[in-house]
Amino acid sequence: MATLHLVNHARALPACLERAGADDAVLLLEDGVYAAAAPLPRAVYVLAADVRARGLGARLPSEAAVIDDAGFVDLVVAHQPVVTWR
Amino acid sequence: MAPRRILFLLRQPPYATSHALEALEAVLVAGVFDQVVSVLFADDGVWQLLRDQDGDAVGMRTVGRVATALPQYDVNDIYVCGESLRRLGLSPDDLVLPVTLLDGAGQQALIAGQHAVVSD
Amino acid sequence: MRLALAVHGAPYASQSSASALRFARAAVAGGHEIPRVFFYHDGVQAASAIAVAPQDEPSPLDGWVALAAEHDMELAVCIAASLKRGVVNEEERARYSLSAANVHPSFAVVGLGQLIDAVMQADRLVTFAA
Repeated sequence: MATLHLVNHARALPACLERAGADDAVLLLEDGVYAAAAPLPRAVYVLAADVRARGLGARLPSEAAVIDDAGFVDLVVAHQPVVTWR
Repeated sequence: MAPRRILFLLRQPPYATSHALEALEAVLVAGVFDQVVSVLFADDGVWQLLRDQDGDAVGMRTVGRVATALPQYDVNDIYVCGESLRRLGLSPDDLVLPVTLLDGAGQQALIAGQHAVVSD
Repeated sequence: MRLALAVHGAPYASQSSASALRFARAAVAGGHEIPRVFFYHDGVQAASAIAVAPQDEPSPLDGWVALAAEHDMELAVCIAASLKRGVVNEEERARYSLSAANVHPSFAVVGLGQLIDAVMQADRLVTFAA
């Protein structure tokens, strides 16, 4: 089963990507969503509530797929382990 | 119940916050649960293993000394990100413990094999 | 599925607790179980019964207490992390002859081993970092 990476600070995304596999899922949440304001090297998920709170909705690149909290739960169920990068 | 594979991912430097020390304390506790426990020191977390630390100087426990207790708690799978070590200008001889160096692919495989990963 | 949550950030100092609470609500709404939420590092501040939320903001404490009451969910705070941060239940207040206790009765003060136990009992661990 592929890994789910949670990135809750934009500064932690490079550390995550150095150790993430191509089949792994990456979810940006909290301040991690600011990483999606710049060009992204790969497809990621971004958490809707954090995007909306920060006013980033119109600024997301096509590599960023917005998911809600239920989608976050679905990602957790579909992946193992779940790794947090801060 | 089959033992779980639990990896502790330690990336925070010691002393400025309590995260490094408290995460290490969790590793020591995990060591006595008869699970398959491993530790990966990466990024600034590698500083936790530097020799010659003296926490007394800032009124704190010496994190490097806590780390040396890992084998006594049956935690013997101790990994360090080789690239982080190089970026920090360190070599394995600078560390308080014998460790196994892993490249990015090795760390990816280590993570992928876990039931759970505990971050600091 | 059985999910274990770890919360590492203090309410207000970090979004960690609020994110975990939203996730926990979505998980139980989706039919999943959360047997234990383990509060560690500064996350133990969530257990303070004497935190007063601003009038125009939801109370993180009320949120956790209500969710745990509705579902079979243990709110566990690490004893070592909480004692040194002044988050103390009545038993520890008496043991250390302290002037007051402040842990909300919906929170259990437990050893760090309960984090490992939660990992052993659950299908997933999700950490909400500071």
